[in-house]
Amino acid sequence: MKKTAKSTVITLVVLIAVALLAPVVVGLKNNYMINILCSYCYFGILCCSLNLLLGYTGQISMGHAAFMMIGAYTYGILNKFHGVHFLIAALAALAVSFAAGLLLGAACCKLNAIFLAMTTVGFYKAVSTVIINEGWLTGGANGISAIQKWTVFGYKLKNWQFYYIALAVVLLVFLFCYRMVNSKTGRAMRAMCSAPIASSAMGVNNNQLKFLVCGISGALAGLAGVLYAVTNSYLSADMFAKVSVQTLTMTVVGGMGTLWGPLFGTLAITTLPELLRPFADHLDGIYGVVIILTVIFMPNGIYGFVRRMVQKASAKAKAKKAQPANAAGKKGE
Amino acid sequence: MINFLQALISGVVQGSVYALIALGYSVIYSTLKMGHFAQGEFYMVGAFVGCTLFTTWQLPVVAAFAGAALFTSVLMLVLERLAYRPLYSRPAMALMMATMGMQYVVQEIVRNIWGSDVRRSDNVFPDGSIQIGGIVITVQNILIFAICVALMLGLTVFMKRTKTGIAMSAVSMNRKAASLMGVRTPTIIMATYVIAACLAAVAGVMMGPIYSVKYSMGTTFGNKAMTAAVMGGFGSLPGAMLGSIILGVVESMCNLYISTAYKDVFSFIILVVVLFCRPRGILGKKSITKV
Amino acid sequence: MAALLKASNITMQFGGLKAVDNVDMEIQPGEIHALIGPNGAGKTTFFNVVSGIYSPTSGSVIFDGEEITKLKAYQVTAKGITRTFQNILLFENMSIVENVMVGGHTRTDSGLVGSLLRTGKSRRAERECYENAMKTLAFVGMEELADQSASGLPYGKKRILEIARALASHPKIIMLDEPAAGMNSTESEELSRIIFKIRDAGITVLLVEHDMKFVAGISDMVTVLDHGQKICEGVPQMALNGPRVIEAYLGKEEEEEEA
Repeated sequence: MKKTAKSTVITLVVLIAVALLAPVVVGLKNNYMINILCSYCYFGILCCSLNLLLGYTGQISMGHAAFMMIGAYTYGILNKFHGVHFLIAALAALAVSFAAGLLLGAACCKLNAIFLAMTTVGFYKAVSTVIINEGWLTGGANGISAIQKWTVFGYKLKNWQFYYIALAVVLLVFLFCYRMVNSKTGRAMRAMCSAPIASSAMGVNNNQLKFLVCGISGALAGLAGVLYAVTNSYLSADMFAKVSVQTLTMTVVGGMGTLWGPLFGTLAITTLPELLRPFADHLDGIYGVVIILTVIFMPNGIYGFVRRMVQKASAKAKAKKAQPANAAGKKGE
Repeated sequence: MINFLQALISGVVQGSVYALIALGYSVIYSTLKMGHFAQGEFYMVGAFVGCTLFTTWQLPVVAAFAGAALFTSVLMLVLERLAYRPLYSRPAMALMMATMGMQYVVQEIVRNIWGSDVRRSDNVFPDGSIQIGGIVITVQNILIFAICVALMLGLTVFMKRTKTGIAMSAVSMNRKAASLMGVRTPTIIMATYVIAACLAAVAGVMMGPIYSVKYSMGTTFGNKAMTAAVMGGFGSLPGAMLGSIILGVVESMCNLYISTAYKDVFSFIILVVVLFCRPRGILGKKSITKV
Repeated sequence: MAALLKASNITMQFGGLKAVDNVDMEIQPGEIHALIGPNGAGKTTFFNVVSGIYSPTSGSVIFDGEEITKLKAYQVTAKGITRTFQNILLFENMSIVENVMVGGHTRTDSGLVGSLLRTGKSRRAERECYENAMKTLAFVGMEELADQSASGLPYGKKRILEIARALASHPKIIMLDEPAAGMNSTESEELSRIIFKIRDAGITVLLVEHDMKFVAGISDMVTVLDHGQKICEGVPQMALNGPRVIEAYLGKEEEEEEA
C-alpha cells in the first residue's frame, strides 16, 4: 500500500516551516504582503477544488470562479448585511456553494467536453450578472465593503493572525484531498475519468459520483471565497473577472491530477504578477505566453517536470555508485 | 407588434454576424476536434485592421475587407504554427489551454500595434433606411445580413462542391484514413484556419463602426458566438448558423421585454434548456461509442 | 436444476435495425457457455443487454430468480454479474493493483466520510480491498506486476488484467467478450487454464469468441447467433458442426461455386 516516501515528508516539513515563518519574515505589520500570503492560501484551496474536479475526475469547469463568488457573497451578505456570526455565515456559505456545485453535477451528468465547458462559462456570467444587478441582495455594483475581521472571544484578530487560520485551513484542505484521492471514492473518480463505461461496469454509480465531486468542489471553492472576503474586507463582482482563467492555469500548470500540482501551480501563478511588477502593462500577454509555453514544454505541469528531474538525478546517482566498483574491478585486473 | 418585429429584425441581423464567428468555431472543431477559444480575438483583429485601412488610411471599402482578411489569416497561421501545431497529438486539455492563452497573446499583440485606446471607425456602409409599415430597416442592416448570408452560402457550397471542402469533411470524420487516401492534411488544416480567420475578420470590419474598436471587444463577442455554436451543435455548420440566429433573436427579445442587463442570464437559460433536451446541440451529431 | 441466468425473448432494436431478435438463453450454474456467431451477429449487444449497458426493447433477464432487466450496469455488477470488454477498457491512468481494487468496488465497505476520518472500519476495508486485489492478481499469475502502470502492459496481459478486474468482486457469473482476441497460441493456452480455474472456483462463465478451436476446447455449451437470431444451441461437437452454423460463417455452398 502507499507508504509516504521519506523525501516527501521532508519536503512537506520544510514547506510548512517556511509557511509558518513567512509572516515574521515579511513583517507582521506589512499588511500588503500578509494579504498576498493569504492569497496563496485561498487560491491554493481554489486550485485544489478545481484539481479534484478536472484533474482527477475529468469534468471541465471553466467558470469555477462562480462558486468562489457564491461562497464569498453568501458570507458577505449574511455577515455584513445581516450581522450573522462569522462561523455560521461561513458554514452557510459552504452549504450554498455545495448546492451550487450540485447544479454543476447535473450538467456533468448530461453534457461533456465543449458543451459542458460553455455551460460553465455561461453559468459564471449568469451568476455575475445577477450579483451586479440585484443590488438589494448583493450591494450591486458597489459591492460589499467593510467586511469585519474575525473576533475570537472578544479579541479582534489581526491580519497576520488571520493568515495562520487561513494556513491551517489550506493545510486541512490538502489533507482532505490526499485522503479523498487515496480512498475508494478517489479510485472511483480516477476510474470514471479514464473509462466511464468500464467504471460503471465495475459497480461505480457514475452519476452519483459526479454529483458528489461537483458538490465538494463547489463547497471548497466557496470556502476559498469566504477566506477571500475576510482577507480583502471588500467584495465586488468584477474582482472575480480573471479568477476562472487563473485557477485553470494554476491547475494545468501545476500538474493536473496530482496532489502536488495545486501547490506548485498556486505558488507559480500567484507569484507571477508580483515578479512581473515592472511589466504590469503587459502582464496579460506574458501570462498567455506562459500558459502556452508550459503546455507545450511541460505537459505534466511543474510537478511532472520536477519529478522527471528528480528521477534523472537519482538515476545518475545510481550510475555513479556503480562506477567506483567497476573502477576497483579494473584496477584489480 | 412593431416593436416585436423591429427587435426580430435586429436580432436576426445580429445573429447573422454571430454566425460568421460561430462558423469559424464549428469549422475548426469539425476538422480538428478542438475548441478554438481565441477565435473571438481574430474578430477583434479584423476590426482594428479594417479601422486602420478604411478610416485612417481612407482606402476603399473592399480594400478594408480584403486587407483585414489577409492580415488576420496570416496572423492566425503564424500563431497556429508556433503554438497549436506542437499540441495536436497531446490530450485535448492542453490544446484548449493553449487557445485560452492565445486570447491574451493576441490582445497583447494588438495593444502593442494599436495601443489601448478605443477607436472610432467610420461606418463602412452607406447611411439610409427604408420603411415598411412602421418598421425601419437601415441599409446597414440589409447589407450586413446580405453579406453574412452570402458568406454562409459560399461556405456551404465550398464545403460540398470543392475538392478542399470535401477533403475537410473527410479529415473531420477520420484524419488517418483521409491522409491515407492522399488528402494533404497540413493543407486542409491551413484551409480551415484561413476560412475561420476570414469570416471573423469580415465580421470585425462590419461591426467595428457599430461597437467601437477596442482590444476587449473580442472576448464577449467570441463567447456569445461560441455559445451559439454549441447550442446549434458544435461542429455542425448549419447548426452554427441556426444557433446564432436563435441567440441573436433571444438577446433582442430579452432587451425588449425583460431588461438589457439580463441578456446573458437569458441566453444561458436558453442554452441550458436546449442542451438538456439535446445534449449535443440542436443539430449536433450523436457519437456512438462502441463497447 | 434451475438456470442461474435466464434471458427470455430478448430483442434489442436500434431504429430500424434489430441487433438482437427474440433470443432465449439459459445459463446453468457452474457451466462454461460460449456465444458464437459471425461479426455483427449481435453477441456483444446481447452482452450489453445482460450487463445493463442497454435496456432491451423487449424481453426479460432473470438472474438467480431475480428480474434484472431494468437495472443499470453498476447495479447488475452489485448483483453478481461482471464482464470484460471487446475493446480493452482498462483504467490506464492507474496501476495494475488499483485497477483490480476498482473491480472490487462493490465489495469494499468504506464510505467517503470514513475514509476522510481514517476510521478503523475504513482502514480495515481498504486493507481488505488491497489484499483481495493481490489475491486476485495471484490467481491469474500477475501479482509481481502489481505496482506497475496498467498502460505499460503488453496486449495479452492487458486482457488477463481485465479478467482479474472482473473477478475482484467475486461474481457469480463472469462474461468474457472475446478474451482470446489477438492472442497467440501460448497466450490462449494460458487463458484456457485461467478460465478452467475460474470454473473450478465456482464461477459460471459466459464467453463470446471467434476462435473455434478455443471454443471447442473449453465450452460445455454453445449458443450460435446470426443476424441477431439464435440459430443453434447445444454441446460443442453438435453446434459447431451444424450445417446452419457453417452456412452462417462461410456462406452457402452453391453461392461459393457460382462465385
